[in-house]
Amino acid sequence: MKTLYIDCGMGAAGDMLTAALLELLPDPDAFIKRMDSLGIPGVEISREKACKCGITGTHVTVRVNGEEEGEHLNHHDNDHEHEHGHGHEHEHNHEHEHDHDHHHEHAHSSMKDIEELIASLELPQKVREDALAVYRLIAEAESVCHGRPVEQIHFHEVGSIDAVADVTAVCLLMHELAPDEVIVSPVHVGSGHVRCAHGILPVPAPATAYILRGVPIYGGGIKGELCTPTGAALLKHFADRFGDMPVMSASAIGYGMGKKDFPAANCVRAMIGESGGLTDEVLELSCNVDDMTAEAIGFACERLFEGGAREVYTVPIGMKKSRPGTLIRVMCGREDRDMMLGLLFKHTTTIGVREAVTRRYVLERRVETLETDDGEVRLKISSGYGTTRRKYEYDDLARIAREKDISLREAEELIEER
Amino acid sequence: MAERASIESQLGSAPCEVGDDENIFLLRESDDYQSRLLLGNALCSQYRFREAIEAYRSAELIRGDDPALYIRLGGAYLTVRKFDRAEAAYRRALSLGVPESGVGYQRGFRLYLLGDFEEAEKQFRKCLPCGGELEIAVIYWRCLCRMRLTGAPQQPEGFRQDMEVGHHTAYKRAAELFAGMRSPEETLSGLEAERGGLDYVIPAYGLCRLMVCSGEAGKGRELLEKVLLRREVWPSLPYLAAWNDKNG
Repeated sequence: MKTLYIDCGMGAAGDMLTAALLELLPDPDAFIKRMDSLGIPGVEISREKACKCGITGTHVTVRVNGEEEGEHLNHHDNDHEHEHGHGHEHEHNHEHEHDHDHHHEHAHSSMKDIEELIASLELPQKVREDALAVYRLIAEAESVCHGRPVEQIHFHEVGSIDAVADVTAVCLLMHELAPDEVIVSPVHVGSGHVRCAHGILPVPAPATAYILRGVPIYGGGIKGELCTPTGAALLKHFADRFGDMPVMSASAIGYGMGKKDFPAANCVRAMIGESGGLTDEVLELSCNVDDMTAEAIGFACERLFEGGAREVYTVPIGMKKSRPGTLIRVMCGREDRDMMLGLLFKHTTTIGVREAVTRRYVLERRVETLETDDGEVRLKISSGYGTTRRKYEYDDLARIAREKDISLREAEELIEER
Repeated sequence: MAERASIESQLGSAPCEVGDDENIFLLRESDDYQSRLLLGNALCSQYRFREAIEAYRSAELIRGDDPALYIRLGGAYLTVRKFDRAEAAYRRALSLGVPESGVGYQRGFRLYLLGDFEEAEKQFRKCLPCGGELEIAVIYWRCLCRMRLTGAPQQPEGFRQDMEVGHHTAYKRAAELFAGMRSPEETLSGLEAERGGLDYVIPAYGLCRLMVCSGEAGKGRELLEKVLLRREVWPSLPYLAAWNDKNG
């Protein structure tokens, strides 16, 4: 399976994601040319090598009418200090220190403006749809945060032309890379406060926090806005799931560098390659009981399966006071935990449930249906980790065995012969 | 709450009674290099040089290859009279490609405070030719160095009446004084009307040194005390030099 893993240990922004994905392409310059020819008004994209904490990657710059976003930010250390460059004679200092971090200030655009602009670009339909879906996530977040309908939302950071370029670039890169699965690490959003057009806001900014609902995020030890609304929306839209890096064999690794320098390398890392199989996370919920009948235990297991448990099994155990007991173990996804806990407490006599989070390595599975003289037979094919296994569906074999009054093994041989 | 830190809080053990403004609060809220550098600059603007050094040092932990950082750090160290550390910072800036002329002024002033006027003069000379507004300040300090070396009044070498000095008119007045184009009395009376701290301390310190060299040490000391009353510009070079002359 072609897997793209995005490491957001230093957050994510549109330009960082663009740069990281760009490094995965065999011909990044061709992509830049394509972006420049799309017709986003006044936009010119360039890439250059950048180094953070000794790691070399790519920094992408979007210039709109020749000006880079936040370019004015660099004026704070102007040359007016000349002789006073060591902090003396301050009355002559004219540092523009208050100009920092105004990166939310832009010309405003409405969602309609954005839709029209994206619709006008020469892009594959899927890319257009993705770009619009990303913007809808942002629009919804802005709408909720500002308490206004989406139609009345005027984008600032995300509405500017350079952000359109970032979103479009990432959508187009995803289209070109065409991963089967996108896995994103928990997102480091940073902490502290940031000044924006509306005043001083906590980090993550409200729109970012809203977009990342349901996504594993953390503040970490670094102060600063590490994840922008644009970055958050792109991750949310494209991620099939969030979690640790799977077992995979990477064929290309890209580092997309941010503008700022932090104590840790300020980059998004993207890795693309083949995952040998799937990994996921399962919860194991366990309880020991010594006062339930076999019938009651059986009924509880049935109810747990019906409730969505991936697996339920029991183990005979010896408990205190030499009592024979039963360990009941339920395997489920995080999303089913509360449901399973409810069922365990309802249908067993336990007064406590243990939980263990475990990682599960699984083979990729698919089912093919074979047409035979004895009807349809489903063939389950499992592959990954260098192994491929095939197995006929038991129910289908059993049906044929009953119909022909033969054994299961004979039914399987019959299908194999045909 | 004071707007700027006192000299006692930076050179002595008095408490610093300056709080963070909104800008500094926000700069403390981001751990990126630029914010830490700007934090140091903002703290310098409030004369909180000790804290500025901490900010610059934390910036250095992120990026140790920016010569501008070391020039700033050197300046903060110099202001709080950590002379060896200031020199180390300037040397680091030099190693990162800053030309000698880029830190000659600062290193010259450091040597001036240390009393090595011969080497100080050499360092100031390294800034030349610099043209523009800085040149008049270099002329001023070089002239003072030579006065200290010889114990006699000196001509401000390189000074021309028509040179471009920009807003450095106070240095020009001092240079005119050194060149004999302006009398000490005229300078003194001009100082009495002077409201701006910098515009006062620059010519006043020059006149003070000239008086000492001219056999009027008593008057010079009296004027030095007046310079030290201009506490609002205590981190300025002439003020620090005056403070050093008295306490160093």
